[in-house]
Amino acid sequence: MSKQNWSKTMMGGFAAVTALSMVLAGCGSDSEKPQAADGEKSEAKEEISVSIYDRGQIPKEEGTYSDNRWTKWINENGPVGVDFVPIPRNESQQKYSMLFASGDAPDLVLEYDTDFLNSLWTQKQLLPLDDLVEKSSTEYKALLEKVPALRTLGTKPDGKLYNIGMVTKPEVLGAMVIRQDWLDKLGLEVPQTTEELYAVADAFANQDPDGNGVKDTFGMNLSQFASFYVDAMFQNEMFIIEDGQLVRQFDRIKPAYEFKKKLFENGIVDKDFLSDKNGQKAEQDFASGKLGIYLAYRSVISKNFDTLKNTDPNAKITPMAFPESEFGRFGPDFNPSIQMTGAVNANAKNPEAVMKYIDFMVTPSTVETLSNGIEGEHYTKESDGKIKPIDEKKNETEMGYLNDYRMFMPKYIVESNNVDGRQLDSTDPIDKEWLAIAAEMDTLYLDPAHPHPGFTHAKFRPSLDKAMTTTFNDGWNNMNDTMAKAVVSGSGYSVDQGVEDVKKSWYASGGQALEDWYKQWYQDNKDSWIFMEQLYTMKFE
Amino acid sequence: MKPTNGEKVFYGINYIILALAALSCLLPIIHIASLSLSGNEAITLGKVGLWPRDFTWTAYSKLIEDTNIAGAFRNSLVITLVGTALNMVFTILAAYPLSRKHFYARRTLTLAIVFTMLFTAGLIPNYLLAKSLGLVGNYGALWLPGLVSVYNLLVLKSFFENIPEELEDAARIDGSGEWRIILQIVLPLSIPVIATIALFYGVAHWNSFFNVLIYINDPERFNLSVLVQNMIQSQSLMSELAMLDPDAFRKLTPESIRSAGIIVMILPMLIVYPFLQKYFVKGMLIGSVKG
Amino acid sequence: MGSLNIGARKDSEKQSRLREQSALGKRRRWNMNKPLLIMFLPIAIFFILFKYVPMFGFIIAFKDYNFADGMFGSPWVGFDNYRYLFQNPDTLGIIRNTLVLSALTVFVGFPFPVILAILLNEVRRSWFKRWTQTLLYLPHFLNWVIVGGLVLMMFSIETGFVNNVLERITGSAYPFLFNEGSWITIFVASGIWKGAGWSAIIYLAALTSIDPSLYEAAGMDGAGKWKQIRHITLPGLMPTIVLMFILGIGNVMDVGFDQVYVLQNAVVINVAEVISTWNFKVGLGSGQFSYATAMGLFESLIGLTLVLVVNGIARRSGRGLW
Repeated sequence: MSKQNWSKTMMGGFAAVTALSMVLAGCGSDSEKPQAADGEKSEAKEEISVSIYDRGQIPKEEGTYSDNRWTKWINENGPVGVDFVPIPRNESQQKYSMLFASGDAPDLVLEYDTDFLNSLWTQKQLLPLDDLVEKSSTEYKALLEKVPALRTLGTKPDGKLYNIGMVTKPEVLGAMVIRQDWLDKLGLEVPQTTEELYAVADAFANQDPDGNGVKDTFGMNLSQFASFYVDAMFQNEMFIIEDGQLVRQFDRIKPAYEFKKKLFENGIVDKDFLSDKNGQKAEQDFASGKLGIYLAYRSVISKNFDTLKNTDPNAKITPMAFPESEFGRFGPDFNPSIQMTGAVNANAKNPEAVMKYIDFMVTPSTVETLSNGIEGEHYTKESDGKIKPIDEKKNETEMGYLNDYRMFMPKYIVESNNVDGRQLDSTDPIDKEWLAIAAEMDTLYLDPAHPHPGFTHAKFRPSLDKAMTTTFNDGWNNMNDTMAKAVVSGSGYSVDQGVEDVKKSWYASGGQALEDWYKQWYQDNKDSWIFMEQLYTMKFE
Repeated sequence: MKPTNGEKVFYGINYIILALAALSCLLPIIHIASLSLSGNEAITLGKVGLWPRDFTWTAYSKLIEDTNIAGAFRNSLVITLVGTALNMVFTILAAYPLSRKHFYARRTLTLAIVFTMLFTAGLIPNYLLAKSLGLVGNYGALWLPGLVSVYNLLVLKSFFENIPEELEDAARIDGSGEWRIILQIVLPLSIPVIATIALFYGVAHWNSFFNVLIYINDPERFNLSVLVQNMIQSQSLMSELAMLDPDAFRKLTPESIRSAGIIVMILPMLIVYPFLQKYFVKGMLIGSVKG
Repeated sequence: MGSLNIGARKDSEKQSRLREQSALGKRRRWNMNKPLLIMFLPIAIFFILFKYVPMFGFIIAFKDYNFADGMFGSPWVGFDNYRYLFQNPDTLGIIRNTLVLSALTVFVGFPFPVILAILLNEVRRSWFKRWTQTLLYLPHFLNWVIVGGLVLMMFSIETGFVNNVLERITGSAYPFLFNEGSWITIFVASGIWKGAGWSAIIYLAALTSIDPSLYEAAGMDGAGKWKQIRHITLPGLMPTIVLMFILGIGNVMDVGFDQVYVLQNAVVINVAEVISTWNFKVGLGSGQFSYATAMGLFESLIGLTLVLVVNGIARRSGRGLW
């Protein structure tokens, strides 16, 4: 190419770029117009904006999170016009922060992270709801009366109600399953104590339970949450109630971690458990029939159950209660029936309209539609009132992305027709087998006699100020990291040494002040707060 | 000229080192490609290595049918092409004066610009500025705040400084103005570095992810990077989904589709780079001085 | 300039002539500057508007920022944010880790792209060159989550490739990821693997400006490959090397969050926790913009100091950035 030509091309390029960028800039402002036109359709309706997580999981033909059949349905059938503001799930807090900083935040903010909602409150970004509920609400007001805990947990230290929440039935979250066929083969029983658990896990790892002549099995897993579940067996929580006081305990750390260390050193667990942060390796071991005792979320176990059955049709698993330790018998983490999931923006232009929307969304008929779909289109009602999906594939496409629209709904009023994504009336043998296992888990893990340790659910701990939040989180991270090191470092770093270091660093970073604060808080709130046992006994019909 | 024995050894070792290094980069890509072409069960069981197991194209067909990949691809192209073109124009306009020894205050200005590379104000002020300029919600927010990257500017400036001054002086005597000198002498002599920084800008736009999420509200205008990163990062949110929505968790984007997304994301990069390499002609600067 | 120090008598005469010349020079210089200034004007506006104006945001490092009062209305707290950050017993260790990891990344990682470019430059078969070059640049496009998975595939104890080989040879595996020394090595090496091919591009571009006839001449003189690289290639690359080094040193406090977060584990946390990951874990990441800004300002100051020092050294050999 000659120089002359080249410079001409460059010039042409410049011009084209300038023109193109102008066109595109124009496009940018144009694209907002159709939205306004959409709003006009709903004529006299008041306009509000509501956040919706964008998980990037919506099928293409359904549109986008801000514009699909259900947002249209809500706009047509609801009392107000709703502009759904998509919030990227992975960067939700950053996005919210930008929107709040620039005054563009949606009127109704929905977010699972209660700490983040709390930080919005400390920054005076949330609207107190007491008066609003009193004056403009019917449905949500009724819900608050029916479920008083919803008010207790949504109230901030200034005594006013700020958060709205979801009411469900308590659900099993964590679970522990054991290979029954391995137990039978080795002539063992389901372990009832932590000593027995160790013995069985040891046998699973060393006595070739799968009979292939190779030592390629693990007794149990310690990856992801499993390590915390072992802590739970030993009541190793930072704050527990002892002798009527809320105290920071250190004496449960040692037994819990000596147990883990023994598992590690004797090759009963995967030596790489610390780098298996998402638990994928454990899933793989379980699914391929190499893992004897599996501690994980129930839904994760369920997801891998099919693969296990396909690799080894004779595999049989049994759910088991957490074994008893010297501190008692406890249970795994569970989904409590209440979760605080939203708040109203202090700068909302029309709080009454927001309240109308909240009322609409918690109305039983709305909850039913957004859970089951539209009658005749997604389901039919049988004579006994049971819901029967018409076309499951279609429902999956058209309703699979709905969960985040239901973030503050009283879901307990609809009868769920599936467990872990398996239809209750499924005829598939693997589904049937799992449904029986899941039902057994319900009785095992939602038992108030064997609660998850800790004074309350992690989401319902009292709000702390900045410095104490750091102390708390630092203390928690420090304990897990230091003790993990003790697990894998052999004689070089003993559990006793680890506990010493955990204690030292706790008091060096302001632990005492936090302990005092918690102690006082417990004295002041022990009659009004929601504690762990109540979470198991709460029932709504 | 025949290579000497020493040179033969040198070349041999050189080929081996480079081949090994290239292989270490190739294997992971092959692994990801295999994952994208394998059945999900084989992936869960960890059976997929460098060859697909239970070969299937489903991941790709699902990607095309279920996700807005075509639209995202188009958006990526627009963001990248327009963005890069704007970047190039303004970076050249910035680098040329700063590279001229007779330019006033060139040291002060360079320092002032380096300063902006070290002190970046953070998200909130940038967002507020973009908002007040009406950039939020359109691609202007992706193009304008990063119009000139200090890094690329300094690279270009340092290359411009290497162009022998005799060439320009000759042109000046012929009566050429600065604009003509840029277009007819400086740019043609700098094609390798122009290609390089165009690549740097282009790749940065192609990969832009966080800014798209923060500044663009309409999911229809998201780019490929957001689509793919969402899939990759959904891994870290799996436990949230497993907790809140077991139903959706069971149907979560399987690893094969994530891998397919990565391949689609990388493929254009594989095509573009060899194309740019042909501008890396040895000794072109010298040749022109002589000629 | 030394030439001006001539005899005192000639001095006045010469100065008046110089003045005359410089008046003419000034006008000429102005004429030459005019188009450059016009060219630079939009750039100046850009930097002022998009880079300097937002720097007002740094005031929140000295404030207790909240959304309600905004950047200007939020209450001043002086150095409280710094006091809080630096009084935490963990902070010093975290700053040390940040410095160590990023300094290793800069210093150890720095030569690799240069070496790679030189090796590629010596390849004669163009197809081989094109292919290796393209493959080497690909890891740049892989997300750290994926690279983290690859690292596990290589170095985990039970299933890692390296340990499988090691077990066959020595009979026992080595916990590469759980030993501080080997972890840091893997951390730095994975960064090099991911970035070297990409960073080499700039050197490859720089190589095009070296006169090939220099090599021919050197070859005639009997200079071996090693000598040619040392005396022709490296000097030719020097301006770019210095430039890249100065730019790299400015980011010395800036270790990528993703890389550390994906690769770190509990056992090596004493060397692996850096500012950004710590912020994220204790929850300072969300909503605590004052701390984040305070820390960012601190990082910038360190970066600026280092750049000024390095540039000062470089200027002595005439290769400074400004």
